[in-house]
Amino acid sequence: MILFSNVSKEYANGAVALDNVSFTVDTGEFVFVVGHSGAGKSTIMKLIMREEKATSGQIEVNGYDLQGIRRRQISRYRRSIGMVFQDFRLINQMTIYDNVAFALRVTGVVGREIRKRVLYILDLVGLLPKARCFPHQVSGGEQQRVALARALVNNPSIIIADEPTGNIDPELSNGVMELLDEINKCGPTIVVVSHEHNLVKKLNKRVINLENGRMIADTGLGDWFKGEEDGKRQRLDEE
Amino acid sequence: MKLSNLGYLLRQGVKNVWLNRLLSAASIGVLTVCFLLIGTAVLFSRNLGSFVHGIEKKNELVVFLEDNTSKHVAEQLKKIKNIASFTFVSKEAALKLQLETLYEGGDLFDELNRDNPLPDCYRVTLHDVDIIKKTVDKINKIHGIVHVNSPNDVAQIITTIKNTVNYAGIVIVAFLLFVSLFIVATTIKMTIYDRRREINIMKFVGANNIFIRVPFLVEGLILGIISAFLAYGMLYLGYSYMFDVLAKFKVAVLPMIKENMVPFQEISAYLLSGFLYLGSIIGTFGSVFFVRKHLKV
Ligand SMILES: Nc1ncnc2c1ncn2[C@@H]1O[C@H](COP(=O)(O)OP(=O)(O)O)[C@@H](O)[C@H]1O
Ligand SMILES: [Mg+2]
Repeated sequence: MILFSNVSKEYANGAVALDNVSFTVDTGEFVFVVGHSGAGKSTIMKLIMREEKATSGQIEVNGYDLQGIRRRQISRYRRSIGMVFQDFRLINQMTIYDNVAFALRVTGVVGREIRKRVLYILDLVGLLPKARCFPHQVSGGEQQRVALARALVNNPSIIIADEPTGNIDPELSNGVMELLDEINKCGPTIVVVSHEHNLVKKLNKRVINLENGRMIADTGLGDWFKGEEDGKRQRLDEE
Repeated sequence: MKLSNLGYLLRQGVKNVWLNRLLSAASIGVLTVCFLLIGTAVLFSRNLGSFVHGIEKKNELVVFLEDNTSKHVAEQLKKIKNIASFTFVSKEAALKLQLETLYEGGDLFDELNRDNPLPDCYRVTLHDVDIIKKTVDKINKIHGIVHVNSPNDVAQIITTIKNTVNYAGIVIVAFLLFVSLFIVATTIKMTIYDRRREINIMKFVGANNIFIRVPFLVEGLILGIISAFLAYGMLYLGYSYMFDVLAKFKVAVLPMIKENMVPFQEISAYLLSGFLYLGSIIGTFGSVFFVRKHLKV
């Protein structure tokens, strides 16, 4: 469960990224976060990862109070969350297998357990045949699935993805979103930042809409699609 | 912390050293020079100390005389209680002795003996070396004495040299240690810079602090330990070489130096453990202390 209560975030340079935002994401939910560039979407993700700390308000995730969490607890907390980025953030010198195994290894998992779980997860995202390839040898969509596998391998109860399809060919974006939907059906809560109307529309999930750091809508599908031409693939903005 | 994890962390540390080999080599170079200077200072000071000790132990005074006063002086020497024995060395005998230590043959003797500059002397041994100064004073009052060569004089000069070398050494070495600390820190900062992407990924998958930090600590330790062994090896070779060279010469003071030279084995364990200790401290400090803020989780 994710709980934001009157959360504001002002960066050191004075930029106000979030202004009094409140919402709750229940366990097992699938939520999209949408909004123009600079609306504060990534800031929400950073706050959930505890990469940044809210200036005011209350954030609670998986039972952790992120305002009061102690430094040494943060790494343990992060293992309960899987994160996927627009730019994949894979390590280019490592094979796909090692990229995923790395996430287990650095959390202290050892030996046979690593192999077992990595192979299972790679199979799940359909990349078992490419386990020995390096990131640059596979397509963008596949790279993002590796990143997804890495996020999944620690068995997190929440997956958050910041524009996971932003760098992928449109035809492949579908696959990634569908995969997220599949994963969601197995239990984990999922929060996805996305620009892609069609995908958001197609999946028909709850949508949180931000504008200039404020939440202007929190709906099923609602107003967000009004005025958008049906079927026309379009991005709200280019970053 | 499981053992296989430790293996992984050690490998990461070794990898860091290799990936950053240019800066690693620079760090090792500076640290090695540092250790070499420390080692040289230690060896020098230990040898001077041993030399001083050797001289003091000798318990022998040389009393130089004006010409034709030997009988009179002998009577006076007998009266001094602290003198155990004394033997006369004529100027001719002294010259011969000097020549023997310089050349194998003695064919120069006749030529030089015509105007021999050396005085006659008595070699005097004492009962009690501790009151040597009093005895020297007494001997100096005897008529016909040119000079008394006391081992104390030489010992004192050498002790002064030793202390000066020690102090200068401490200052230079402290400065160099400081410099090498920063170079090690810089090397590790560069590694962190190179691997910030990896570190960032480690952070968001929830890596232990240990997993993020230990490889850099290992990197620092490796730099320190390699430098320690390098310096030790170089000192060993250099010192042994000097030992051999000195053994081949036959100049007056050298036998004295040679017989008092501290064998390398006597302080080798001492030096190596000292180097390793210092190397570990510098490596650890360089990696943990100065780069902590770059690794904040
Ligand atoms: N690290 C930062 N330091 C200062 N300002 C930032 C930082 N990150 C984001 N911002 C500012 O906060 C606002 C929201 O940014 P962000 O959350 O990245 O928006 P989005 O992901 O919706 O495009 C923007 O005005 C941006 O300039
Ligand atoms: Mg963003």
